[in-house]
Amino acid sequence: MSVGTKRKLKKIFKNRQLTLGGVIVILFILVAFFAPFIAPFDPLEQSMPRRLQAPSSEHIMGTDNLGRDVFSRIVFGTRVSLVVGVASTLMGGIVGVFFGIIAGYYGKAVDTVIMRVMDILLAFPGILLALGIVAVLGSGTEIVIVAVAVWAVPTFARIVRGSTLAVKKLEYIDAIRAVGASDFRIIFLHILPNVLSPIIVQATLNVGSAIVAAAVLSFLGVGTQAPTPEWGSMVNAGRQFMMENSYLVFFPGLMIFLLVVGINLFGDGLRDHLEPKKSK
Amino acid sequence: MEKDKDIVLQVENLQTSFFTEDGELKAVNDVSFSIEKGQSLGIVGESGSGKSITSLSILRLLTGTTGKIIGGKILFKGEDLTTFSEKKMQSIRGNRISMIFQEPMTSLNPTITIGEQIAEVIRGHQKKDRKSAWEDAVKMLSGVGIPEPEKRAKQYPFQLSGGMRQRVMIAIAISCQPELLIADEPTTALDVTIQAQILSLIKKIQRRSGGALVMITHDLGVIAETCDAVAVMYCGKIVEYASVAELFESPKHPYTMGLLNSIPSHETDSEEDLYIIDGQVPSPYELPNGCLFAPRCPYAKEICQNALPELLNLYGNRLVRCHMQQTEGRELEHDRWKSPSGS
Repeated sequence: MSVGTKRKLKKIFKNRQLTLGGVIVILFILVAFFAPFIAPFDPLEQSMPRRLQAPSSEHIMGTDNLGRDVFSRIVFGTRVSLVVGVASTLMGGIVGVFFGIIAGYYGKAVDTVIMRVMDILLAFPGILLALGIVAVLGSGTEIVIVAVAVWAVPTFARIVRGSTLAVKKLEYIDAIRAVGASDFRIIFLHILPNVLSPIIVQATLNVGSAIVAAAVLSFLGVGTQAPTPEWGSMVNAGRQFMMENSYLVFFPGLMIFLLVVGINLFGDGLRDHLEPKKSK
Repeated sequence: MEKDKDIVLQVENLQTSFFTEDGELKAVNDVSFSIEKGQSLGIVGESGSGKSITSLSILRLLTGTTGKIIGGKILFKGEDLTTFSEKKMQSIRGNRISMIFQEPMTSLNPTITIGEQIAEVIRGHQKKDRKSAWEDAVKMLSGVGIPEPEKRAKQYPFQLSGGMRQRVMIAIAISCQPELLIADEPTTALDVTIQAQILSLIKKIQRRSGGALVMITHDLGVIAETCDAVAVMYCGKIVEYASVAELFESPKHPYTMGLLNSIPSHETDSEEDLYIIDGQVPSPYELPNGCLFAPRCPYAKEICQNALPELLNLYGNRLVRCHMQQTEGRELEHDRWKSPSGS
């Protein structure tokens, strides 16, 4: 290992937020990946005699009203949450970055039109917007991804537009134009790489909020449909048994909390790491 | 006709204005000049005299600003650049006309290696694959005097010094053998010792390629070292045009005289001997009615306040915009500049 890599690693490990968040996120990713090996039971297997059992050595998080193992469902639920969070962020991020960079680069009327549309999107409360989209397109995991992606677009667009405005004014953009580069080349080869770090940070943080948003939609019953295990819908299903069997809402809620906290720590740490000037 | 072919660039009555909330700002006002193959022309003037805007106008790089070419022609090899589409201009920029910028520290993309930045320009204008463009880029780097070009090509701009970066900028500018090279204050941001190296490099490259060079600067010393002819600009207009030797020997315009007298030399041993031009450049929004330099001119007479002098051809392409030269045709005495503060 070279001295340079060692120094970089040292810098990463010194950043506690980044390290802790990273460990949590990596753990969840491993759980999602190896779900079939970790889960002791089939998450869909129902068993009436075993319904509503409190946590025990056999069912460490108990069983739900249909006798399904809560721990196994949570393990498989990790997959849904991560996929929805990452896929919707990718989708919303790509669209948002594209519009943001175009608006920032061309300015004037293009900027006004794009950014006013983004303002309109931002004016809707996120959940209302997502509910509207679900109402039009129907429910299901794929629809949730689209709905949460649309909600993420304006945030990306705003951030990228701002950075683009700053980078566009730098001399090297003039210099590149002076040697005959087309707008397309300037935008994607010379501006995009220089606005990447705020995009990466925003994308990370957005995964966290996207997971919460997706869980909320599922909790409301319009997201991922039964019997697919999903944390939000597990909280919803456990709601009616909450008084006697609080573990039914506690464990899925805890998982949402842990994953999102992990992702946000990771995102904040990443920002400090990529933009050292902004820390402190 | 034969002679016309040698003219690389002919600017005719170029007018570039900025349209701001406070009104129209005439940055370049009726400027004409021409450059032949192998010739180098210096454009000298203070900040705000319109010299940089002239060069940006030639390359049509004013998009993104409020500036606009509102009149005149820019004939490059007989074709009027002002009528070209943006797409056609892109094929000219960096290929047939190139520009070296003032700030080498910020004129390179920090996220891309310098070799790739040169290769990108080559690939943009010539049909070359990645590998041969890279080889060309390395060749360009060694051509501008960068040691260990193979190693340097893989480095990022932050790993290079200012002088090195300016060499890289020059390598980028000449990578497609342009017929016209515009250098906009190429040495202003550099140390004096590096300045001399960069100037001699630019000069050497121009001699080798036989292209035309426009050197934009506020430093008459740079002009003396690199140029054949020189145009002095003041408030968006050319006030004097001459060969370098003649300009330094016998300046005709009071402003040029003032500039020459303001150059400190090792002989000036005290503050008293350093001349300054009284007053300030007039605001571009409120240009004087008469001669633009009249408010600061020690020779100014009544006519100077009221009428703008024409650019007069004294003899064989020796141009000056001054009533004193036109009406009286006499040598202005230098000693009017000898009491700068008026005390």
